[in-house]
Amino acid sequence: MIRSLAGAGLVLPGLLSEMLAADRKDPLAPRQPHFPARAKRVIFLFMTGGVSHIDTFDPKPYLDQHHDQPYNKNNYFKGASWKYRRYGESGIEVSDLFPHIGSVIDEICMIRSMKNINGDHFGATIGIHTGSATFNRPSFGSWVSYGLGTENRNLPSFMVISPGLPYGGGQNWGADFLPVLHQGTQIIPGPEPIANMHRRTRTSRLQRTELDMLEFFNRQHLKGREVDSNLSARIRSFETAAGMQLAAPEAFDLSGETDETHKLYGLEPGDTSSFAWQCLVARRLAERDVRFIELVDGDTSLDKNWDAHANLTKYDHLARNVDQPIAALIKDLKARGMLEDTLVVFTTEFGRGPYVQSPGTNGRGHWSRVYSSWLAGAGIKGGMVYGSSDERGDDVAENVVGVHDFQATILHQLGLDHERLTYRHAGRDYRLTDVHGRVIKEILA
Amino acid sequence: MPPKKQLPQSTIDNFSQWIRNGADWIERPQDAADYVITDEQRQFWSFQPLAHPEPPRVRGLKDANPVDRFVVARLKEQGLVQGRQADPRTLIRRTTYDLVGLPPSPEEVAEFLAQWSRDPDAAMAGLVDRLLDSPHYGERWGRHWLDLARYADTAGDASDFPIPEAYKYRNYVIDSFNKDKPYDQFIREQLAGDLLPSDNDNQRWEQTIGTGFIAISRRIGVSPQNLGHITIEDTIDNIGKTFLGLTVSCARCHDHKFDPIPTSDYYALYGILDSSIYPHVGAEHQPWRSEFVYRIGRKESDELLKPYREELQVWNDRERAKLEEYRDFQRKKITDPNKTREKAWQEVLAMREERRPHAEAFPDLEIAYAIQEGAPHDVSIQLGGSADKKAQGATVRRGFLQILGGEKLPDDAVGSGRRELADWVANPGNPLTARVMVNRIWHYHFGRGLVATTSDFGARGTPPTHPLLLDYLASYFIEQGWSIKQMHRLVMLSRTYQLSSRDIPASSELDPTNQFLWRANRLRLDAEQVRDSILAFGGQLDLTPGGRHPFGHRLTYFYRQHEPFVGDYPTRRRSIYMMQQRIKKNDQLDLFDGSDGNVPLSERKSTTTTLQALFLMNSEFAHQQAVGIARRMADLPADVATRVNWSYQLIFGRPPSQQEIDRAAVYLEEVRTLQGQDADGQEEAWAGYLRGMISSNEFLFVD
Repeated sequence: MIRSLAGAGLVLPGLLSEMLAADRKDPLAPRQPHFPARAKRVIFLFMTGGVSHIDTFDPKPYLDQHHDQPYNKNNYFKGASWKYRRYGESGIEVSDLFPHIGSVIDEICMIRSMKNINGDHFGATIGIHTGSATFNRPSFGSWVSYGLGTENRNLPSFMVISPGLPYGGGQNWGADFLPVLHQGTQIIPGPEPIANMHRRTRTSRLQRTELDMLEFFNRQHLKGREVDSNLSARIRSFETAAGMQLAAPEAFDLSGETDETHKLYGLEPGDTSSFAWQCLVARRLAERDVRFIELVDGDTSLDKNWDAHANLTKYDHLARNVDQPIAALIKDLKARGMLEDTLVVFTTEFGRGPYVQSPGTNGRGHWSRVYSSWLAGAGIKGGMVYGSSDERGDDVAENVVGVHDFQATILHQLGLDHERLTYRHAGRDYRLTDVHGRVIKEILA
Repeated sequence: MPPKKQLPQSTIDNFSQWIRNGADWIERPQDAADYVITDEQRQFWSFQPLAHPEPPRVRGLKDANPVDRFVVARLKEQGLVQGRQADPRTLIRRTTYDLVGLPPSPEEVAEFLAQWSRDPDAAMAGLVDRLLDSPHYGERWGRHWLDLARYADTAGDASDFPIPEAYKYRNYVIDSFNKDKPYDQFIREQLAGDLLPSDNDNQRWEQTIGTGFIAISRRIGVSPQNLGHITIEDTIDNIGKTFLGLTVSCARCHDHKFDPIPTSDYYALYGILDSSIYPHVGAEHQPWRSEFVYRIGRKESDELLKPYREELQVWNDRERAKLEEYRDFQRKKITDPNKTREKAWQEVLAMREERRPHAEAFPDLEIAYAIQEGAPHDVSIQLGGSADKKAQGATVRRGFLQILGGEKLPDDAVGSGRRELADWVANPGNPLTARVMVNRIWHYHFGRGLVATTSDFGARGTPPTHPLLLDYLASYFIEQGWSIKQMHRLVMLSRTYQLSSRDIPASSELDPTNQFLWRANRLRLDAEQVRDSILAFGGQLDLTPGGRHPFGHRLTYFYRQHEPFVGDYPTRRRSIYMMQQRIKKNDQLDLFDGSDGNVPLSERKSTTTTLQALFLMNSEFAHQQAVGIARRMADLPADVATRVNWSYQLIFGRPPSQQEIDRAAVYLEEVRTLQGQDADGQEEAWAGYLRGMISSNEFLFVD
């Protein structure tokens, strides 16, 4: 990256050797994985609020048959509110909420035996993001950034496209005890997706003049202090920032995307408020080698998330907002040959329960005992179902996938051994997966 | 519960093998009787009583500061030579940032230089004394303590309720540092201030506020009121790390893997805290505050507030009733066509508005977010850290860590045991308390402690680079009545503190990280120093102390996980007075590795990131403040040399060279060519120049 900047004449002469020296201890420099990787990057689609497995990806005929019949003294069965149909060669069933995802089902490994460690939004959300439901720990993306660095210094290594805050807030992408440069950068749709990415000085020539002035201050100061690599690293950070100032607006500029692409994602030109915008931007960030791209759907407000205690009907528009763009993302990545090395993850904090307290209730409670998530691309077997819930969708029937197993498997595809990806803090080595985690080898191609 | 099916053969085989191996149950919780601390563990350096070492004799340093005698002796052993003293400009900048967190003004620099030319030692001593007397000293050193106490103005659970009274603890910490409260007293107040004797009511109240250290423990989850064991875990974790340098909370689920701390020790402390009452600040399912401490006393406030509470209770019940009607939509099918979920919600909101004037009419007595005594009791070990009633082990008598003496509460003890705990921690015979604190002071002065892991003096921490010096400092600290200001004087008046940061190739060859202190460490300004300095340069910094944040009325909060509290109260006061929220950090301070508020933070990181550079290049803050500084130039003569000189004195604390003035002239000329000539252009050009200065390494680092 420095060499290429130098080649392009963007680095001021004389700084090169210092900058290269600093580069050697650069924590974001690309690192070799533990073993050859199938995935170079991850796109992590997180649905806030807890998506009902029963109404989306896990058909339960038993519940449909016993709908509104008593389960026990206090509870009644509640069948799916949407019909299921089979898709693709694999014939995997998906509900009518997600016809577009159905259309790419042969790329997808559907996991119907997810289990989270906590049943509240807060604990379950930070649980799937950090491996702990109770304590502050570094985020998944931060661990990946720490483990692999990034190949594109003009953009952050871990970017979170999140219009609002999920439960637990920024803790979900915090670096905690890892160096803060591994922290997720929140991308807020709108005029300035990355804070301060736009030049505020009136013209770029004027800014260049100012940066030359800054360079002079720093050169003067460096005299007699040349051995301090912290100083040269900071000098370099302004050059990288200048690079980001150019690269970031370009990454978010969709004007070069064809009508066809817009149509594929279902994105109206100029719209930045839909999940389609998030997905299309995610593809562009993936093309630019951002290591971990997270897309958060919804925030903590009820009308914008999948928490549905009494209003399952909202799933119609919530699903409509994400279904086509997610399918488009997979198709688009595939068409560009990028699905080979991009791992797409679809998950949520938990599912929703099979029972209601009174017949006809139009909602379901939290259900972390079992729920569904899926993976696609980067060496994951497509068109397969892994694990199952019992006939009532109440608990895992076979092949449980806990959050740590899920995390271990994703790290594995990135070439990282979850037991070796450690960081020494407060006297011991910490891991994303704590003392748990099993790589689900059965779903790997 | 027995499994429904026969176990798989592989599992049965594993059990068989385990039984053949002797069925050792390694993870069993061990109570005090059968936990044995080995001699090897007892001999670990940090558990040894404080030595009272004499400063070594070093040739040429007969009457030198004891710190220097220890450090130079150690350097000699390593074949290293200490560098020379820094120049006075460097020293006043370093010392001022260190003690008050602000840049020295050009006038202060000039005065110091004049004093220095007469008598460098007297100048330095005078400077340190002046800064220690400044009210801004507490704002700097209190901030260090607030990092450790994971201070925040909100609770930390999913709905993150504000705590309007938390600021009293913050200001208490600042005041305590300013008045050089003896550290042992400071400890006692934070653990048991409500139980200490006092000379008057002000002192009693101040001490009570001190227990905010415990009250401020982080709440978690959706219903923190049901997770008391996690709140207490946070308290024990913090007491262990902050006062003792031990990761005691590891022993919550199992005996500590590396240090001699059994689970029984953890639950001996747990019983003390479980016998105390934590205030409840409100949370989603229990929004009513309770157990706050009233200055007039519990009985008196109960009597006085009784009618008001009863009245408010009526409204609270009405609000809950409306909420239940709304929640019915989650529980059953509502057939009444006149009722909709949305309507039910509107009724909840309307009821809250109706309730509001009654809440706001509630008397405003003086309240603290503090701790009270509850019903004293011992607790059982929670097996595996589980609060499940089924997972209870042996009951443990309340007491202290065995490795530090293992005192138990006497049979006739009447209270929770916090009073005793405070004495055990603050006891001069405790080998850790003084060592840990003097090491922290050293860490903040030098950027690295003699023990680099400042909150871990256990087996997994790093051993001290200067064990004798550490013990000397700890003994001196106790002898000087636990005076933190005396420690500053001792350390800062040493040559070691006053060294130049310049490299010495021969030394860096042998000791590249400077652990033996042959030079000063160059440190990056921290988040608060960056913000406060930039505001100060523009004349924008409000130096008055901050008080309560402008939260809404304390009895009108209905935050929930779906609508957590999120607040932003812009201020021009020093950063320590900014509202610090737990589930959302302040972007600007976080960018420069600011405090956390969720976990005890013993060492700030010092990262260099692209986003920091973008902030300095493009943020509204950087631009506005640079314009503000440029406007201050308006009264100066317009010539370049005068203005450049003014800027250098203000921001770098030194005059510019002719070359630097010439370079500024070139810059101004270039800008003029680019923008065309006008008055606004002048200001814009200077603002760009000043923005360069506040983005530069000379500003951002302290030699």
